[in-house]
Amino acid sequence: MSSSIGCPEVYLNGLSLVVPGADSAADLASGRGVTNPEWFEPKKYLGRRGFKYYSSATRYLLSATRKCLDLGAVQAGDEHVGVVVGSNSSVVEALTYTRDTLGREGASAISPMLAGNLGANCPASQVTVTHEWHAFCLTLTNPLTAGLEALEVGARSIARGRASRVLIGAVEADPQENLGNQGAVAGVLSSKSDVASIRLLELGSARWPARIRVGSSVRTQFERVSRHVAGRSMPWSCLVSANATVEPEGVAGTLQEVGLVLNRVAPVPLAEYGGTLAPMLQLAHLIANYGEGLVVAVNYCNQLAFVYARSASI
Amino acid sequence: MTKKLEESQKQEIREVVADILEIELDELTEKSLFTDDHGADSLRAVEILAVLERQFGVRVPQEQMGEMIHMASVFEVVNRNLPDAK
Repeated sequence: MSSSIGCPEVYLNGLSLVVPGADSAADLASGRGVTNPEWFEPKKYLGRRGFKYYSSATRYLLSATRKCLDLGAVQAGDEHVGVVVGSNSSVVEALTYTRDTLGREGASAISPMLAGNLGANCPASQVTVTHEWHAFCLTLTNPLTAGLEALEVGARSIARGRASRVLIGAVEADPQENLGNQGAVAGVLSSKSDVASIRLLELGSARWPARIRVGSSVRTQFERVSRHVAGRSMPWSCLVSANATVEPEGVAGTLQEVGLVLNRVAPVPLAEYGGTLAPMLQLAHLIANYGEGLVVAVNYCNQLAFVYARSASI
Repeated sequence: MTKKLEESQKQEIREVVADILEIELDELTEKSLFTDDHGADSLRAVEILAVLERQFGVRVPQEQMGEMIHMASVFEVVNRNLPDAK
């Protein structure tokens, strides 16, 4: 299955980061690094109380959402707001707690409140409940690509009138992984250009075919990107999972075949970030530093997702 | 002889409940309502029940859970169900 969004007028407003080593997209380029294990202070975003039983993933996503609200990108209590989030590891912490507690102390020791976190959609649901956004609530779980796919699903929902605004995001919280697999990125999709807007010009997803031919879905979608760039050198970033059968060079070759001139942005400052966060941070980095960019991600199932976006101020 | 909670046990229960409700101990009075005054939902009530059963060895029948609306009623329910109170 493949899909793409042509050019519905969709903007990403108030893109907000709650990740180790960076408070904003500008910090990503400085390469401050993911080193402080005490990087996250929930009280800073969520107040003194009310989050004791939330999972780390829920705390991260609520915090990034708080930043979007503070920027004025979305209002609480708007029933026409939907929520779409990508995550690979949001439920790992609750699974680990349940398994360990069952093994050590038995079922009676399981906390009913903590057991409530046993669901991949819990962080998105809590955001929905907390801010009374009732259009819809969805979590996508494709490895690596789910954050970019959330952009696509959110943009489609706006184009079809299912929601007036969509909070999109990526969140990871795997206690077994490094710090770079912790945190959240959130932003608000809208047909209006509001705060710190990014215009989403092309969004797409497809399975990378064994052989790219003229007319194949991937190629057709990349051709749409080339129409926006018109021969200019374009900053881009490509993230490919280790077990994917396609190489970044293969992606680059196909982009060049459709006429794109690539200015490869090495993801070095962001190499420490993983999961669904990584492509979203790449997008934030490209927009903050180059004003535009193409982000392509291919996961180990050869599922590809991409976004081509430009700062609305350009 | 009917067993009753000692003051030290009551204090321990107050601390447990305040912790679960995420409030300061001095905000929790005998008659302040868990739901209306402290924003608790039904799941927090289940959490309170589960911790009381685990820490104090009481078995509270499901139908008595709804009685536990403030600290005074929690003490009453726990007293009623202490292991050798029957």
